[in-house]
Amino acid sequence: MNIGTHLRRLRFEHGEMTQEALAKSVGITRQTIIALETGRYAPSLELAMRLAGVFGCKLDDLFFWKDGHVPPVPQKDGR
Amino acid sequence: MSGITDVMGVLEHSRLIKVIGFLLASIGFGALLAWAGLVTGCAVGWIGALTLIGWALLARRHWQTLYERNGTEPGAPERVTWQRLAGYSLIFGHMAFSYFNPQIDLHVGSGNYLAIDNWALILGLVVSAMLFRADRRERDERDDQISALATLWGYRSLIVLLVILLTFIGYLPPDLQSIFNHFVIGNLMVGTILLSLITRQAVELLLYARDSLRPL
Repeated sequence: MNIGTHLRRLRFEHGEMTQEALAKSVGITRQTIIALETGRYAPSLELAMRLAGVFGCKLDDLFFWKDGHVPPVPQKDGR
Repeated sequence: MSGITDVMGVLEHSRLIKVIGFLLASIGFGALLAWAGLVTGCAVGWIGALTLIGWALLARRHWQTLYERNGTEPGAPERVTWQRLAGYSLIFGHMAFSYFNPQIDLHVGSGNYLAIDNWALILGLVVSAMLFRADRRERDERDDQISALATLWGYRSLIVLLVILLTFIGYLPPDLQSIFNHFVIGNLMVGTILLSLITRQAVELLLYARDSLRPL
């Protein structure tokens, strides 16, 4: 996955918030928080905005492209 | 590949094997029950039902221990999927063994011990499902994505199995057609549906295994 996250750092900066507390505040499971923090799951826009809302930051402060720039769109056979 | 990725790959592999091993063990236990019923003439379905409930209680305790120890327990929808896989596989194993034993009443539609066994197993499935009823409400978008993909594979397997079954019945030599009376065909259809449900649950667990341990 090309998207990274600062979720873990932001959690610790916000009073060492637990994964469980964060999960509860945005209505998802702790397992999904783990999947997000380890870069195995890309959230929906709604969830991403909810998470940003919890930390009072912009989406760019929470998620980023790992390569530092937008990667090219994967080519698919249009037929 | 880096060392960490190697370790993750091995862990992922072992989790995949765990899902397949559990599936085969459940089917095998169901077949063993049917065999025991055939040999002893007892309604062994109750043993299967109690085993299923006992397994559900032990699994719940094990996952609670994992949660308290290091938080590595499976999520609620994954726990429900394990329970369903156990139940469906057990019932399927019991039915599958019966298909290959003409002396069991499944083939002739008389007698009732097999029906008692099957209904006892279904009762065990329902009771064990009740132990996980709170888990059914706890899910999010990631679970829905995994569930949607697993459901797709479940339907695909159902279509493939139905095509195989119908082709088999359609091209059966006339002297064998008498074996496949409507009672047997009905039970084969039930087995086909069960197999597609098992495929769905197994794919879901494989997706959870891949999702939780996929190399970064």
